[in-house]
Amino acid sequence: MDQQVLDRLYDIVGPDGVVAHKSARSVYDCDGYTLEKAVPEIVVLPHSTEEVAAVVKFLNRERIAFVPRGAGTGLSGGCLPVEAPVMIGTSRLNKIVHIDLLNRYVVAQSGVVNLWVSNAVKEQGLQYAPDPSSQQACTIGGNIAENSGGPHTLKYGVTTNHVLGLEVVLPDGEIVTLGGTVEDVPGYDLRGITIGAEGTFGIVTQAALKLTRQPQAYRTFLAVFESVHHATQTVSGIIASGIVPAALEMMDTLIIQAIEEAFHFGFPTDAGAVLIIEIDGLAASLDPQTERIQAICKHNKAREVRIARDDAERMALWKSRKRAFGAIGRLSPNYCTQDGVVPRTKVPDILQRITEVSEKYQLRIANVFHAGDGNIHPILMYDERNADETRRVVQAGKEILNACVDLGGSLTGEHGIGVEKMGQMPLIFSPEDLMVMTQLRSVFNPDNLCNPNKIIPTPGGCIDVTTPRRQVPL
Amino acid sequence: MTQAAGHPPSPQFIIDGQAPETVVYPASIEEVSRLLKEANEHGRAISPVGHGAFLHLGGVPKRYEQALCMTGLSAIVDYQPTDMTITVGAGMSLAQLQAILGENGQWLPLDPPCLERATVGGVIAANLNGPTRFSQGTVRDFLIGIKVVRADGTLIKGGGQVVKNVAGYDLPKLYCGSFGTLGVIVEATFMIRPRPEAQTTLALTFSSAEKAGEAALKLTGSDMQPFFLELANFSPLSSSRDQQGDAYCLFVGFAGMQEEIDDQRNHLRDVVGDDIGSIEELSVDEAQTLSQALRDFPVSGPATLRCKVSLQPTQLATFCSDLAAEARRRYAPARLLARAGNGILYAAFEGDTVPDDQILSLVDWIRVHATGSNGFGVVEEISSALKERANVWGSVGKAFPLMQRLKDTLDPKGILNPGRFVGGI
Ligand SMILES: Cc1cc2nc3c(=O)[nH]c(=O)nc-3n(C[C@H](O)[C@H](O)[C@H](O)COP(=O)(O)OP(=O)(O)OC[C@H]3O[C@@H](n4cnc5c(N)ncnc54)[C@H](O)[C@@H]3O)c2cc1C
Ligand SMILES: Cc1cc2nc3c(=O)[nH]c(=O)nc-3n(C[C@H](O)[C@H](O)[C@H](O)COP(=O)(O)OP(=O)(O)OC[C@H]3O[C@@H](n4cnc5c(N)ncnc54)[C@H](O)[C@@H]3O)c2cc1C
Repeated sequence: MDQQVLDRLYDIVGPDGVVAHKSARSVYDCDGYTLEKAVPEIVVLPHSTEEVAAVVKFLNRERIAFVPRGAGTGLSGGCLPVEAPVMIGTSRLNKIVHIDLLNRYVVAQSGVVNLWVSNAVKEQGLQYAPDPSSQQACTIGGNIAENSGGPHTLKYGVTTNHVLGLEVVLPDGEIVTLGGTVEDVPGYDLRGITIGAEGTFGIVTQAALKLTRQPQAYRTFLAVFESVHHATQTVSGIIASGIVPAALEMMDTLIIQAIEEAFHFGFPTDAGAVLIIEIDGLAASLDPQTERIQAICKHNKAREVRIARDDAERMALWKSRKRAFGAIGRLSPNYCTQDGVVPRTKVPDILQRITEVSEKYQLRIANVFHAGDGNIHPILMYDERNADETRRVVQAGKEILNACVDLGGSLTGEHGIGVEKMGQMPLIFSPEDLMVMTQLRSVFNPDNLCNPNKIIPTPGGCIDVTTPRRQVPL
Repeated sequence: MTQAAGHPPSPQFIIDGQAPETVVYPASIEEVSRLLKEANEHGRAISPVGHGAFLHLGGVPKRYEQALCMTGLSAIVDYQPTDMTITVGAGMSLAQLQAILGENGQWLPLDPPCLERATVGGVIAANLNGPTRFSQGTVRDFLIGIKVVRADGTLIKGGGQVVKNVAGYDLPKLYCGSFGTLGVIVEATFMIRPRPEAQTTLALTFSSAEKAGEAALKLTGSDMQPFFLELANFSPLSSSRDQQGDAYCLFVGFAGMQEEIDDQRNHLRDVVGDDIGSIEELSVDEAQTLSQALRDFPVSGPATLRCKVSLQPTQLATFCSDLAAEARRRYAPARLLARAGNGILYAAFEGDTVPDDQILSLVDWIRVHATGSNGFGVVEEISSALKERANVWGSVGKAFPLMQRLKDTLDPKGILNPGRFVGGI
């Protein structure tokens, strides 16, 4: 990278705000999607909104592309630098700026870790509802970019339902506020379209986040079934009964075994599937709902329905669930988590298709997912030293997503398109749909300097995930 | 499908005294597409209209040549009760949608004014909602997919049919509250919810706005989960309960399972404390009357001026008492109704002899006091002659250039509702 550019960046952010050394930069070569890697030419870590603005203004003037990065837990290659030499990390934007308990919102810088927000208001009985399983690491900025969800979004909604306003440094270095700290801000909902834009509309530096009251009480069930079929019938039954559970998560045999081996929670390793069902709200409403849920489980031949005895047991159960991905590490040196969505009632169909894909490509696939909203997360296991197996993983992943689309679903429920799924966008969007998205991007990011080569496939369809532009380390 | 030439258009299509030259009634998406393509080629200004009785919202049209009446697009495209999703044509009335969902014990959790008449497209375009937004949210929280015809006639879609989806930019959000200025909404997919099994409403009275506001904050700060929470300086119920002087009411709704309703009703007094005039549970009929009145308040009764103010919930009470005093000084008595948990205040001012400059100074007062604490004030009804001076939407600050670029991108010739939105968009 040009020495003058480096010097200028040093001037703006100071020596502790620049990561220039090759070995230090190499940790930024990918996010949680490890099939493609690329090392940025320089990483800058601004300390304030003003520094972000100054960096971006400078890069815009020099026509140098850049990519925002939070904690790098993304699962679709969103912060992979693709023809973008500069990475702008938010790790120094890590302050909670303001807490307003009575009006129930928090203003946090974008590098603040998701869980810190809930922790900051826990004592006062409040929480920040979106709870991605990566919440101990992922940042508010990353959550906003991906419109992240989590196990409890079935009842509480995803990130966009909890963001009042954003402070954004636009790709030309201007600082704007979208939305605000009150509801119904006049004008177009630019906050709404920026959330989920995967960092292509600018760099979010700060956000006003709504707080939600912690429920008065919880009840958490572990229902054990002989087969996935019975578990999915139960999911449909619960939804049809008029109950809106806080969470409805399913795990299949393979994942149950991995988790049990890792955390010894006491999961039955011979079960075909388990459901984690959680209801919350007023204590008075939980008994009648419990009865209904138990009856539905029994009707669908549940082998056993356990109820978490106390908060400690509930936390242990959730901890196991949220670390399910980690547990897979015991079974396989590498894995690729897919993220697709089907209409809730099509969950049995998609699981059947996944089984077929697993047989066809000779891959082990474990399933742990948000069954309540039809959001599947098949985990495809492989060894990256085996080139053929790596290729089969990419192919199998694609086939699963195609099946989701065939069933009326979508390519991604919460992990985003990133670089991973660009090639498949035409499966669900027409050229006209993609054109309007390109135009929307141009409204915010006219020169495409901010996170280029993401989300929208370039016309001509030259982007194909089977032949990554960046070399997969095999 | 075009109204016979020579007929004056019916009053429902008149906006700020302007009548369109033609009214067209497309019956399919293809027709909407063709009509827009044609209009765009000729630079003809179009206003998409739902049931159209409430087109006062927004600035005076710069031009208005054709009304595009959407009520012909009212089919159920797809309804999967077990998936809790429904896709309908944008011209379907919300009442019809709710009736269809009601057959399966479900609903779209929105209770906007004029429920009977508002269309799905109008509800999205005007971001309509009602008291239950406190517990349920607004239309952006339920709209998961949308089809829109762009100004040039191109059909585009965003989102999809599934409840969780982050593929591509979130287009549905962009069209919520876009007031027909970015395209004509032709189809919408919503996620829906089970209808609450039971419901009850309590009316509380207080001797001042501050006391009522205090109680509202105690409620939102407690474990209670009100269905709605409305603060008013009047009571829409029978005259015997009419409010005197500075008295304020708090209307608290509870909904869900009978057990949780009973539990909350029984604890309500413990939570709000003793500084309370009266507390009374309404009969089913009274509750019905009240909820309709609360819902329709933003559009009902005579008013020389109506404003909607966005504030922090903690600022509501003081704002209300100060505003009521300001209004009295101008002989324009104010009826105030606030979505207390959301910080949204609707103010209607009566007095048809109030001079124009007094009305405008009231608008100024509202804006100055709202923006002083990062709030906003929008004028929802005022005589057409005053609209420009009142700057109905107010200022939207540094984000405006982006909004203008967005409009220019999606409607480069400015044919869709020109002049009606923020900054004259
Ligand atoms: C074990 C594990 C479990 C997970 N569980 C879930 C889950 O339950 N639900 C879920 O939704 N996701 C989940 N994820 C995915 C991931 O954690 C989320 O997408 C998360 O929001 C990413 O945050 P991050 O800070 O790591 O962002 P990064 O990975 O650093 O970046 C993600 C994207 O956001 C952009 N970005 C980051 N910060 C900013 C900013 N300030 N302004 C603009 N753009 C920005 C980047 O350019 C990139 O495109 C999981 C990931 C892992 C590894
Ligand atoms: C002064 C006033 C204030 C109001 N304030 C509120 C309020 O704060 N909250 C509230 O909930 N309700 C409010 N209303 C009520 C609301 O305006 C009407 O209930 C609603 O507009 C009726 O829906 P409709 O289908 O008849 O839409 P219309 O009144 O016909 O149209 C409303 C707007 O949506 C556009 N539109 C309609 N259909 C489409 C479509 N298919 N595609 C694109 N654009 C379309 C129109 O061009 C217009 O800008 C208010 C009404 C008035 C008169």
